[in-house]
Amino acid sequence: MKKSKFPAIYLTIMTILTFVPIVVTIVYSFNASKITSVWGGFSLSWYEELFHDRDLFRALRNSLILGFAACMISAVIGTLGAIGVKRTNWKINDVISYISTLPIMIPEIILGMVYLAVFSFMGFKFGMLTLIIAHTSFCIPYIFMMVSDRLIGMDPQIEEAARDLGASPVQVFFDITLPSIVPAILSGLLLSFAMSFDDVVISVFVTGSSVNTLPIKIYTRMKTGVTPEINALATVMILVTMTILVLNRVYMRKHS
Amino acid sequence: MGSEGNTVSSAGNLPGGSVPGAAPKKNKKRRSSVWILMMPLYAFTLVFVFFPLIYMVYLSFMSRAEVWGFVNEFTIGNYKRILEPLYLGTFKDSLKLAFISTIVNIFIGYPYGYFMARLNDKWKKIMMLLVMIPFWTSGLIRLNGWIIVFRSNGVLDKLLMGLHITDAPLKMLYTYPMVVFGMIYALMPFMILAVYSSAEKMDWTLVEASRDLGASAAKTFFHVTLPLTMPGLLSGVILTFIPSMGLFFVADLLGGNKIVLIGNIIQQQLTKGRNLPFAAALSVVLMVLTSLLIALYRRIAGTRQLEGLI
Amino acid sequence: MTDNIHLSLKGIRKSYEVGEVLKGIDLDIAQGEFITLLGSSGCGKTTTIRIIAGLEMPDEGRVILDGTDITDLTPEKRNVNTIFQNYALFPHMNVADNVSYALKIRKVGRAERRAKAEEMLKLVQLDGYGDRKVSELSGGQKQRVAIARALINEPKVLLLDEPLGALDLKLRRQMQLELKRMQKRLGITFIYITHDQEEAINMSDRIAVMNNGLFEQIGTPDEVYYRPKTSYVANFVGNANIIRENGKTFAVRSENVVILEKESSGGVNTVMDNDVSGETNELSAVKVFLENTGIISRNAKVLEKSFAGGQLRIEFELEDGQHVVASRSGINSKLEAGETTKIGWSPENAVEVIDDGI
Repeated sequence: MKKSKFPAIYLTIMTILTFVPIVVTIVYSFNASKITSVWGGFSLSWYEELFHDRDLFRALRNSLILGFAACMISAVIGTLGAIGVKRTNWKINDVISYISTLPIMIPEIILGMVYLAVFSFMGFKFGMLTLIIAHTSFCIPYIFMMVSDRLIGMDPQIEEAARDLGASPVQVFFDITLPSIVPAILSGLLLSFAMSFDDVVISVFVTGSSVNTLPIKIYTRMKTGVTPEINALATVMILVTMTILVLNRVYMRKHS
Repeated sequence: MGSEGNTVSSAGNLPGGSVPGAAPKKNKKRRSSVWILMMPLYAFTLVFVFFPLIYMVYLSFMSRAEVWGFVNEFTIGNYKRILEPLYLGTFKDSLKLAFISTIVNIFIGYPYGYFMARLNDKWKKIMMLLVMIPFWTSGLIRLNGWIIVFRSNGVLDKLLMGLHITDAPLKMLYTYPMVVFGMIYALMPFMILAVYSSAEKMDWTLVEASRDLGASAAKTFFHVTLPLTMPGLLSGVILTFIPSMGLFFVADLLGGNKIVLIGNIIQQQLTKGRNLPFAAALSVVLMVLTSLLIALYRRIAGTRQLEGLI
Repeated sequence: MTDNIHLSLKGIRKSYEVGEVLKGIDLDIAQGEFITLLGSSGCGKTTTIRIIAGLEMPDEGRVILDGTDITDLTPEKRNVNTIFQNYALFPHMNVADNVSYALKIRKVGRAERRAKAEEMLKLVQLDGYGDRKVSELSGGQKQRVAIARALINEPKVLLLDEPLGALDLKLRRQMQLELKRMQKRLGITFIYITHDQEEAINMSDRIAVMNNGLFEQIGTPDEVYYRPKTSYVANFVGNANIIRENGKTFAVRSENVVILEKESSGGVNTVMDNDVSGETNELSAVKVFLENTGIISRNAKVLEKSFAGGQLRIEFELEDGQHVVASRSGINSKLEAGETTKIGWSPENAVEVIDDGI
């Protein structure tokens, strides 16, 4: 069969297109002009402004705390849950697994609306706590699903072999099970952190007046018109994302 | 070595401790406490997912209060209100937009994911990274980039006017096509990854076998490739269709205030309208639509998990 | 044997949702014995050793090791080790760490662990492989690592769950010999599972033939092969014909079926060996032969000829519809499908067995 060039051309063009907004953002972050449509020469002034923007830094700190807390809690709940579900054959496990993955299946707006209502009903003070709970709800499914997938692919005899050789259930968990699912947990953590760090829709509803996350801040500023400072911030975030992804790739290569 | 070899005999004489002739007693099952591990998941899911969703349904049948919150009075008024032309129209618009963006996504994303799966390992990994970078970059930031490109006198206008293709700004931003474009762009990676994950698992020798048996490339595609990648395609449809009804910020930022989707109405009902029960009713309808789609997917694809979701 | 009982199963029963897998089995095993549980898949043999290993709890019955009831002990508390069907090596550890895992659990120091691992690897002829990744090993090497890992604890009993099933025929033969030699040298009791009767006969001191969750017969390879107690054993171990006559059931192994007519000389069958089927006085010679040997001659129709395992198999149908297979060396016979002839077997080659419908 003759090999067509079409796929390669198609992939190249589409991939370049997807990168247009990213490249444009990076280029314009160095634009000296305050008006986005005019190119006023190269400048780092927006970065300077960015690093002096206390407001944004507070939002960034909040986003990091939120992402970290939600991911850690989800990692524990999701991983233990996946192991428990695999080892017990309760009929209700299927139902709970299904309900627990709903937060990433239904439109985010529903989750935001629901939490707004429920947290008012429960009398929670809107702020970091409500943000963490809401974000945990949509981080758990990623970790739960990734770890479950890994566990299903694991040979059950390997754990039995460890028991057979004298390891207690706890030792088996730390020596055998955990090392096998660590890559899945890490991937899940990475994905859920990215989701948490990017979330606007749910956060808007469950955040209080005092706590702003970075995406919320960006959203409100964008609504009032694109500012060049956002471009600088975006560039920094893109670089961080790329670094994390590349590091993840390197880690995965080492451990496969 | 003795050769008498004991054959089948009854379990009558147990050594030490058991009474001869007594019925053999049942051993106690070894108890396992693994279930404790699931309890955090059970607790969290019940309290923070299941209960809130039930509460939402309950709320949708309540009456609104004067300022905020609701009054415990049963009503189906909220659902009746959805049938008003204003809201019904919004539902239609949202579905239309979701429908268009999903169709376009199929036509652009399917070949992308399919071609990607046919690359060699090295290029697969590189392409994966290239797909993931935009995917993992904040959606807002990517929209920001498109705004710079498409805004009046923005990058695109400058380019087209510079090449003398157009002589006035196109004024594309804040139009309906722009919102559609934004949705497609925001959700395309889901389609690509879903199709890719399905196509990657496909046994390519089946395609070769089909060609070998004399089927044309087109016939092979429709009879072999498409059915085999259907789970991924359907999953991609779900993963693009459902969020596109709720991503209010895309319509907000790219459509100005001109394009209103269900997501925007829910958001407005909560922030400006302060009508919690009505927002709940809208959410319930959206939720039912979503669940029907997922149920349909499961029925057709025969799997529980969405392909390429993780 | 009775005063030397090492491991004892007493009335073990086990059920799963699908039904009763073990229906009350008893087994006494002597110290240092090589015993094989032989049966087709689903007969309960794997469940039996999982119960001995402690990986499953029996619903009823006890497991006694050296006079101590170990039924309720969890697997890690039993001095019994297992070699799993697909080796179950830990994929994230290297070969040495795999082998010395049991020592790590017992908190043995790193250097000593490494030394002991090397020693075990030497035993299985893998010296120098300690730093290899498990994924770099061939099937046979994985098998050896699994053996080394299971033996490092010096278990009283080693359980082997079809350990050679995944290897090719040649390697399997070689490993059979090696395992047998190792077992003799170490004096450890081996409980071996297989569905391959040749393997069982080659390696075992005793064979326990399992069917439907029960032992059909327990005995030396000779006993189960030459003196099967049930029709199942006769068929499964000896590939014997099961012939039902006058309300009794007999097992006749195919090489003992004699073809009395129309067969050329040169076969192994008794008649042919004595060259009684010569052209001229065929009938009278056969008659004398039959009188001397006590063989009853029966009319049989040839159904099919096939060549398998270095032998020619001829399948006959008797007048009452029963099928009988005769086997002999050589690759062909004058008999053609559809022909009728006479076959028979001597009374001493027909072993009366308990009929369990097979």
